[in-house]
Amino acid sequence: MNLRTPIGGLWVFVSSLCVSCASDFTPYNEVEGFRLLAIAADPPDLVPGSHATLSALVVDAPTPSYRWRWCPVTLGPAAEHECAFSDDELATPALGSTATVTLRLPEQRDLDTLCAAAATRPAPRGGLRLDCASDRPEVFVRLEVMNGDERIVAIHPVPIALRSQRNTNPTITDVRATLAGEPIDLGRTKIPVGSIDLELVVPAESAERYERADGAAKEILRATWFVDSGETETVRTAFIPDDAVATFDSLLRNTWRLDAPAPNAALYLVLRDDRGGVRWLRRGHGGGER
Amino acid sequence: MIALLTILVANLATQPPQLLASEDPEYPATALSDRVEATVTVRLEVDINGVVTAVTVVRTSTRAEDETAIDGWDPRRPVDYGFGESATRAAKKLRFSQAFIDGDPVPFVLDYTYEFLLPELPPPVITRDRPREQIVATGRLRGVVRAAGNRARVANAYVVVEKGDTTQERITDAEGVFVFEGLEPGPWDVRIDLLGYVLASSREEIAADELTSVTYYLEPTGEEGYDVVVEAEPVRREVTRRALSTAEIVRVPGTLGDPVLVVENLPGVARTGLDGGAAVRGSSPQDTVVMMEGMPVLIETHFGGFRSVIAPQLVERIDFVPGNFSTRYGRRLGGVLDVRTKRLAPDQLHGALELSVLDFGLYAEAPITDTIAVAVAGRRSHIDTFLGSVVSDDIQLVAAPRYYDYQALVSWRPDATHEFELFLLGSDDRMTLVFDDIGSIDAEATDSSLRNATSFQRLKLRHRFRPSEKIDNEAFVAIGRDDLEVTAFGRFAFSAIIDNVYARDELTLRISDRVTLVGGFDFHHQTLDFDIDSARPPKEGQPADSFESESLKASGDGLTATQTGVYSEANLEVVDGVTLVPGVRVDYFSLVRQYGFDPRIVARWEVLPELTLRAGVARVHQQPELDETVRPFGNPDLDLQAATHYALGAAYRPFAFLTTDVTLFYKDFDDLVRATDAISVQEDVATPVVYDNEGEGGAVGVELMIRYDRHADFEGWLSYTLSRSTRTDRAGAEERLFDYDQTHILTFVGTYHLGPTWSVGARWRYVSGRPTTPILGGIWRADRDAFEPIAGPTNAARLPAFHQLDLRIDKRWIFDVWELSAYLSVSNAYNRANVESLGYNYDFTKTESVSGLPVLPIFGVKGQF
Repeated sequence: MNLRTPIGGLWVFVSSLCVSCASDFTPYNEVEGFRLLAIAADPPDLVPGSHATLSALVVDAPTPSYRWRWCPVTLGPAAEHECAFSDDELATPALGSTATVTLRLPEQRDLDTLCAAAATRPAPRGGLRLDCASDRPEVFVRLEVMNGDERIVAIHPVPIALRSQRNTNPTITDVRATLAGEPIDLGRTKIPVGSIDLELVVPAESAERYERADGAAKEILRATWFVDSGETETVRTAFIPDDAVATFDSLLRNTWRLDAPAPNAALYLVLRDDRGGVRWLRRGHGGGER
Repeated sequence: MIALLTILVANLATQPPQLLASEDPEYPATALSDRVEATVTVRLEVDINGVVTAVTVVRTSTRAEDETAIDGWDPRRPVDYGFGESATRAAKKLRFSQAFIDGDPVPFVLDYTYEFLLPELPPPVITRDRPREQIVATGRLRGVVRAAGNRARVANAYVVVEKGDTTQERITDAEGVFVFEGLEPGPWDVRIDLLGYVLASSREEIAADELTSVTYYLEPTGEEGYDVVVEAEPVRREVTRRALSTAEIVRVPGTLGDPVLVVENLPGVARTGLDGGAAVRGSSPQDTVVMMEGMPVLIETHFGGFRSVIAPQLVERIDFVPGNFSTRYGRRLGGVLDVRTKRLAPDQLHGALELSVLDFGLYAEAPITDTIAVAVAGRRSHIDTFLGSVVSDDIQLVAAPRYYDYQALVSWRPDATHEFELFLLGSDDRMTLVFDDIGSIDAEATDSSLRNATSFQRLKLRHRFRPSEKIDNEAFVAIGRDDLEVTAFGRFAFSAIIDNVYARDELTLRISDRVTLVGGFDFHHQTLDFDIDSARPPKEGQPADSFESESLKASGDGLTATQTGVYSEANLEVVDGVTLVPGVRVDYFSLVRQYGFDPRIVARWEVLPELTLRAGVARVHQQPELDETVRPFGNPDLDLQAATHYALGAAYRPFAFLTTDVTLFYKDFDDLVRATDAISVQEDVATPVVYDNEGEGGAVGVELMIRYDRHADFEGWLSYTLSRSTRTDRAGAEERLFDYDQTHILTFVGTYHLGPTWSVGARWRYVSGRPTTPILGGIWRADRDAFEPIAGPTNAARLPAFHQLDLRIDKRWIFDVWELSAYLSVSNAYNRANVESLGYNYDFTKTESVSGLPVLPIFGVKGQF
């Protein structure tokens, strides 16, 4: 047995995370044009026969068009996660073409049939599979958003709470901003130049406690701070239970720097838990959330 | 009468011959009566068994005690007196131990000097009637000649003492000692001369009836006190084997003495860049085994390439076999790299202290008794003491990168037939980083730290038994533990503890001058406890950053795996100059419960003394990697992977210092592990197959090595490889380039010795860029809050070519009893921004080059005695 592979694997893994780090690329959270920032399901997970409302946070797209579909097995990124099942094999694979659609999970008996079919359907590397034997099976929502000639393809797994505890989307109460110690209203037309200290207001119970196979756990929360003007001190903040650095307080704080007047500056906060829950909040006068 | 041995040893003669038997030559009677002494040097040709096959008188010098007493004495035309014949007769009865190069016995040529010294005459009888004041009192001078710096005793030095018209000469004995007697009191000029050392002169005051003892230190003019003569190609069991001595390794610019990095400069080895390891003749780095003294080790360099885990003072050489290896080696599709420790033979206590910007090291060796010698070494990094000042504010160094290693070597040679050796080797690397901004670095992190702890220990006991020239048995047993823990942000975690047991026994029987038989077995047993929590890692042909999305877990407790091999081969000189080495090796791999049957053959034809042709075919097998055979990461039903090596080569050595070696090679891979989309359904349970053995591949190329051994103050080599390596991922699929396919690999390494204590070296490399898989765009993963890449055709693009110049300057200051040396190594001297990989923006729509290290000077000093 050769242990060189895992040693090398560490560095490969670390380098795989280093997308756009130490480079001149625009940071992930700086919105310079048409973007899809989040997809949310409400509720974030499903049980057989239930349904969820799906919505997307799209920016800088005056008249976007949508194409929602769902699938139990995808063909991987090389095939843009197209479905490994034909339309005939799935009941209502297309979910609609509006900003908000509804995903209905089949009843238990039909789901069992689907699970059996998914288990034997080949999927290339990177393909996603409904694995009903796992602790946390998922079906996959594929969204194409078009804005003129521009197109974004996204995939959003929706967990199925077969054996796991149900989840709820996290809560964002508010985001507070201060400049040189003075509170400012991010809803004003003109956001002042300078370093604005941001504080997210999130109830501590947004990080839900739940049971999983290896015992009691608490959700991880991650906040992505999208801005369409200026820059933030950090792209994303996180609360990782029991981690000495990624504390709940560190989740809530960031700094937004504006070096020049930006009359339409906007801040989009997307808060995720690690079980599929998503919530977002918009502040400022950015270019047209849909 | 003194018999003096002047052995001309190859700088690659890794085990010089030892004199086993000799007889004193007969002193010519006429010379005795005429009171004539002589020095006769004969040149011996010795076969691989240590038997003298030819003797030639090189020079004879005679000196008369009283020239005036000999009729017709002409110092310009001295009478031979038969000294040459007497020396020749005696020389034919000499017997030597075998000399070895790269572990193989070699014939050799050496110069042997006989010193014919007259017996002391009885003291003059002093008659009572003789006036007492007429008695001339004299003094004696006893000297010991040592090499400055390492204090080694210098034999065969020519010593002359002069006072007015009176001159006496001596040659230092094996202990470096000379004695002059009957010296008239007063000042005497002393000169000591020997090839390889600076002429030394001194003036000594000799007192009557006293012994004056002096130690003289000769300053070496070169690196070592060895000269170079290699008259024949050693008998070898491989088509191609590259051997580099420690002196060569240490001097190669840009490698800091790292054996694996040095190997990268040899033909057939592709550049792996940040991946580390050696990709040999179209094989992945993990397909080449790296061993220390025959034992596979967990890592050979600290933190992937900074430093070797073994002190260079302990390393005698590295052996690198890029393919078609002897049946002694197996279980790998790629090459074999074996770091060999030296044969301990210290004459006294020696030690060294080395300090560089990376680490400091200590080394000591000493004879304990006449038959026991010990060496110890250790090294520890100190980069952790200052690294905190150079890392980003976003990173906390909880445990900065730190490494250490240690070695101990004990040898015991109770007699000429038995040799025991105990070797201890250990290494430990540790690092913990905590990232303040973990949310930005990894959107799925469940921990903000990155940890790496890698340690291993090995303890080996070796016994060599040579009851005669025809029988040679070498056996060892070794135990060791590997302890590895790597975690990154709670998403990639691998920990394992492996207990290893190794054993090997090899018997060599020299049936006749033309037939040698070799047989042996080796055994490697592992007991493994492990935990893996990670997404499935990318394999060869898959983009390096394409970890799969699903996190998997696997663990094992007390998992065992055994690899056992038996092998045999014959070295047959079928006709003069033509040698065949047929052999077979059979291995059992318990992990896959399969046998590998590996027939091999090597043929050598010495067309001319300076021209040798070689050819070989070898079958090799290798088991899959651990993660490839463990559910849910892999497939426990995988089979062995296999390859067939073909090679055809020629070595031409027009001069003793120049060798040109050309090798054509072809490797045919089959049953390679490759990823598959297939689903296995058994008893209504569907399971992804993940991996199967449907992969195929090939590598074809030509290697050129021009090697210039030290001559006229220059040494170095030029290597070039032209090759193409491909893989076919499934039957009928289109052939694609192998991950490490590099069409052109050109390396020049050279060192010029500006004088006895200065040298400058350079290394320049040009390597075709590595294949890379183009990324066509990205799919946004809403759950990960990140894009995942859309990969294009595998390895359809290529990175820009790599080229780099590395420089090194060495300076030594030699004092009588110690030596100080310093070096300045400058990597990437012209600051070439070599592209190691491509970086992408967050949605994979923009790309930029990720460059390797910029110009990097490293300074170090070493004191040794």
